[in-house]
Amino acid sequence: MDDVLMNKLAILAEGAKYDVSCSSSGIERKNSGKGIGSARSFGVCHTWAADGRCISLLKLLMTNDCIYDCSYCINRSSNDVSRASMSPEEIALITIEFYRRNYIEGLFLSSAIEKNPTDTMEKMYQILKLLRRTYEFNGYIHIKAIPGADQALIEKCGYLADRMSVNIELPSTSSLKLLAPQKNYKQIIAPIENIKIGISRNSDERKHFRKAPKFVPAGQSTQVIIGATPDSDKSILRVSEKLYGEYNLKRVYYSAYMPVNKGSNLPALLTPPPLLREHRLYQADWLLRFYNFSVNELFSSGENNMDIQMDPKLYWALKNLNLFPFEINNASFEELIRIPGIGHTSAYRIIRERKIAHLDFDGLKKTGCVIGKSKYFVTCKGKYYGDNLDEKHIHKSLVKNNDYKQISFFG
Amino acid sequence: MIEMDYLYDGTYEGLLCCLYCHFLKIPATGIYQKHIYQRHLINPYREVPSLEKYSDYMDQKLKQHLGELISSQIFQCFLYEKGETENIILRFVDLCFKKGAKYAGFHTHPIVSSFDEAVRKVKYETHRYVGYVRFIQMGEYLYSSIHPQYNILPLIGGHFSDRYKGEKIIIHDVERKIALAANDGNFLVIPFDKTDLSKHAKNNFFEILWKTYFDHIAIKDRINPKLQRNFVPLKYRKDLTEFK
Ligand code: SF4
Repeated sequence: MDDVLMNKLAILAEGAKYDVSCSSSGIERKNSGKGIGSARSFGVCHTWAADGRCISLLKLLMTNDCIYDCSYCINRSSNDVSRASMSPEEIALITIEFYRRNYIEGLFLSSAIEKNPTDTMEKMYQILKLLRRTYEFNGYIHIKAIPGADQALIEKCGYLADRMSVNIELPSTSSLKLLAPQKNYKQIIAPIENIKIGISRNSDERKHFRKAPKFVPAGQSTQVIIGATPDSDKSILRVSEKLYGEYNLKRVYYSAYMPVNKGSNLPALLTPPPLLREHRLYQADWLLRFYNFSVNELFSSGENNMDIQMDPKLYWALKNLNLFPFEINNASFEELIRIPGIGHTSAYRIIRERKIAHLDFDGLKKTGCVIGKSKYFVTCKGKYYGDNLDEKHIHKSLVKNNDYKQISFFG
Repeated sequence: MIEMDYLYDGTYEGLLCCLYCHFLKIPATGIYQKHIYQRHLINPYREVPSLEKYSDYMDQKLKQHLGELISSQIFQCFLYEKGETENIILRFVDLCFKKGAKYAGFHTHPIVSSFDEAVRKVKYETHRYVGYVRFIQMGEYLYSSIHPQYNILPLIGGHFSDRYKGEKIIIHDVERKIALAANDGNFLVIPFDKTDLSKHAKNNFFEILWKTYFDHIAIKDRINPKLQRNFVPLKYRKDLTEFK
């Protein structure tokens, strides 16, 4: 039985590994006192796999046996791969034993659809019940909400899980038609909408009755595949902007498509995954969430894709040079964080330090900003140190200096 | 004015007593641990005993003048335990007391920046070890051996004692010969002069299962040992089940 279980775990980990999300952050919860576990708001990585990705949660499929045939997916029904399923008891036991040894922060459970969506969701609910009620597990749990599953069941799961997610995977209806014709946009967005409504209703309830059970307290997230379809950066980021704005999502993850299947509608098998593009989308996503940028601003020059050679903030700054330079001793926080090379930390520092004494160029260097970038966009006590505020010049000096390092970083 | 080196017993309370003497008696040229002090030719020195009434007083003054956050950072800095740690603290506290608490935020000042650097390193390693501790089952205990660069046990105690409330756990800092023992939500750091107990343990099924999982979760086309090494430097790997 031990070998069988090991074999199943290997297959189901393989099936789950293309899902990017592994985050355990966003919720702080102490041990309730009886069972095991807690949740930390800052997120904890326990180790890093050979591909350099952090392992925080036990990321697992319940089964990889699927009735659907999505072209891009390794588990699609037409593929000839080994199939395996684990019972709720097995998954709960492995989660607890891994957690006791401090291998993981919790569980991230996903699944293929073996019979129908509701049946899959029902099994996930059993796992949640085993962990939360039988083992009194207080650690982090992230589960997939399965589009098409019974809504009441999804809701019951939401009261036991910390995070739920529905993967959008393909950012446009046309791509969905092309690669996952059995699915449709309405069906995917329905549970996202419902979870959003559930969360806001729950936060009202908790205002009146503090002890009301929490519903999906760490919020919901989703994932979009990059590079399997011709969707542009702009259209992908528009979807993200909408998900953050209208559906209050906590995170959108981007996954560079790794060709695992042959198919006339897919990139050829040996096409390398667009890792640098994925990285740029994460940077742009960051600007949307924490730097008050809008998609319109990022693409103000009319293009649909970003310049992959430079980070999106630098790209934006070069297209908007008329706004620069900012005087480092007067600029507001909002202005400071728009300067390439200056992030939240260095912006806070600049503001704190300049209260004590006006910052000169040497002082600016010590605030932890990327001075080689920032110097082109600022003045210190009125003096400009960037030798030339000119798009071509800055492009020439920065792109060769910084960005090839980024490429080799992912090499 | 006379100045002198203060010697203390290596405890945090002892260090606080030296700070007390520095401000209320004779200014210190430096603070050193008794057992590693090299006698100076010129500086006179004096041993400062650890007395609760002085250390409590000083602790209160630190909290009062610099706030909870900075006071806890001073303790974190103390756990850095490298070379001149005591003097980094002495100079930092001296600066903040004489020129005002706002100097604690003057990060470009050399005294503040060496303090910051020690705190940052200790905090970073503390955070790492929240993830890096690996338990093995030994009878009724969950045991873990670690080899941290800094003395981080007092800082991870709260986290582990809460998370593993129902278990009896021991986290053994092998080089420092101390261990964190926790049960029922409480913890203690105690002297623990034993060899690394994990060396004799038999392989458990869940350890093998974990290694299987670890190997299969990596995407083969994205294998990147350099990136992996950035995140899990080799020096930490000897205590990590999945790298053994
Ligand atoms: S439903 Fe999910 S598991 Fe099944 S083929 Fe589509 S993407 Fe793959």
